[in-house]
Amino acid sequence: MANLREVSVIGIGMSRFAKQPEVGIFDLTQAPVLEALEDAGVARERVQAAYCGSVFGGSGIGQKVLKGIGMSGIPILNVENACSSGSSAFREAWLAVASGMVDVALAFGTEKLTALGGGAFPLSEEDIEADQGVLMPAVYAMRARRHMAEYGTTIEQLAKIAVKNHRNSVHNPRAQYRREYTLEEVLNSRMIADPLTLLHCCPNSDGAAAVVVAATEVGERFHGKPVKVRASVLQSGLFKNDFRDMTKSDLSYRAAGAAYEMAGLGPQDVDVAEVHDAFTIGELMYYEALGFCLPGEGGRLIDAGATDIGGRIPVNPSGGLLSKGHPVGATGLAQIVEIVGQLRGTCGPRQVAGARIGLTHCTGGGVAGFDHIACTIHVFER
Amino acid sequence: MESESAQLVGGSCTICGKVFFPRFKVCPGCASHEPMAEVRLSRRGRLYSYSVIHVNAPGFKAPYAVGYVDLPEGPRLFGHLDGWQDGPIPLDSPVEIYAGPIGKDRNGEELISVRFRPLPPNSASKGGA
Repeated sequence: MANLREVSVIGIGMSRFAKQPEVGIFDLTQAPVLEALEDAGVARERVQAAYCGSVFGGSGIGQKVLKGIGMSGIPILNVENACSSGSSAFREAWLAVASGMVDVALAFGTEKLTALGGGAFPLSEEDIEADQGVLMPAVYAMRARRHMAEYGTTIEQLAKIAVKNHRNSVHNPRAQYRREYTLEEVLNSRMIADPLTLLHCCPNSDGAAAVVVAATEVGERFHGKPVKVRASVLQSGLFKNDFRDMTKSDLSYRAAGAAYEMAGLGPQDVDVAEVHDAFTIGELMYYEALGFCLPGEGGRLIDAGATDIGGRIPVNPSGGLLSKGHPVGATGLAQIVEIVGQLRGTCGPRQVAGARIGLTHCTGGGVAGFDHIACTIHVFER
Repeated sequence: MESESAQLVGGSCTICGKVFFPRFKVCPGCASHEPMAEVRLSRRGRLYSYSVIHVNAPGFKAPYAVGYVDLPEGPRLFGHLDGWQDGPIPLDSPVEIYAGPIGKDRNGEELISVRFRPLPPNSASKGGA
């Protein structure tokens, strides 16, 4: 690999995640950008490039947001990569700094899903399966049914993931849900795509998040506690028209392998992770892909409480997508905001004690013949 | 067009031999530009997984079931599934493939596409074209 500079996160900001149709997308997004700049101690003139993740924000969303806070005339790139849009924007910012092109870059993401009118998330047009009525919950439901059949995973084990993440977000003031749910409430909520009920699925949300990165040698002059980026990986799905093992996300396995290699670390080194739990079965499958347990043993991992705060490998202390919410373009950046907070030790009652290495995993995009279209994994160290 | 006799036709790459449904102009397996040969696909396959959808998608009336079926020639088919009202269908069950209405397209016209009908577990999986 080319000589890349070490990059650090020096500033973070995040809006509340919620259904907030009354808040315009510019206000929603500008506030966390300003928060991240202030957190970094960086004047806006120091930001040399900006990357904006959004799926439904429309043409020029990044420029439209930034012009309102006196940031124009710098290179701004709008990034659309389905649910990985925000984390892909972060990767572009990382790459701009790592390559030596700029010293300070901004990544932000935004989404107003309430503007779409609710219901299951719309999949892309011009897709052979979307045109025939498939929905994202049904894709994950088919994975769940197969995982249950092959490994004996139970619906209760899946429901425990929702219970855990809702328990965590009680302590996250920016989360969409902030109450605990019992196992029975998850199991008995309205059926969406059998066997997944409503509380196995993340909500539609409005929200935005922002992160400032800088070359570590430069960043130390700004924020007192820079968090280093040890790995940044983006992978795309491999097209297959025939048999695919839907219990194993081959894309996430591949991205995880690349991320651990780049970081020079293994799954046993990770102290805390934010994992793409758009659906409970997703978090369980990604435990396995990220190497937190062996393939097929995700159910036992949740049963053992290993992914609770205080467990062997806490996952989604923020509440995850299931409870914090999933404004798609902002999601990957909000995961990074949480992990940087965890590594700084500023997460209050949901803090993972002594966390030193953190990981974020964000994947998505429902297109026929793909596991997903994209997967991003980032590894951080304080 | 709803029919028991409708025939799915896939494409077989004349270079690498892989079978695709639908056909591609360029082989996704080996990137060959040679025109694919027509292959008549089996009318039977095995149910890999399925889900009953209980929320309405535009043009589709819930509840309805969708699933993936693996064909002996290789391709995995997406389609709508019958028989779920009678209780859980064991995965890997043999299914019969036919053409039938599944919902409405973007113009509100009836959409005819692939449907799966579960067969008794001991049915032969091969079937004929």
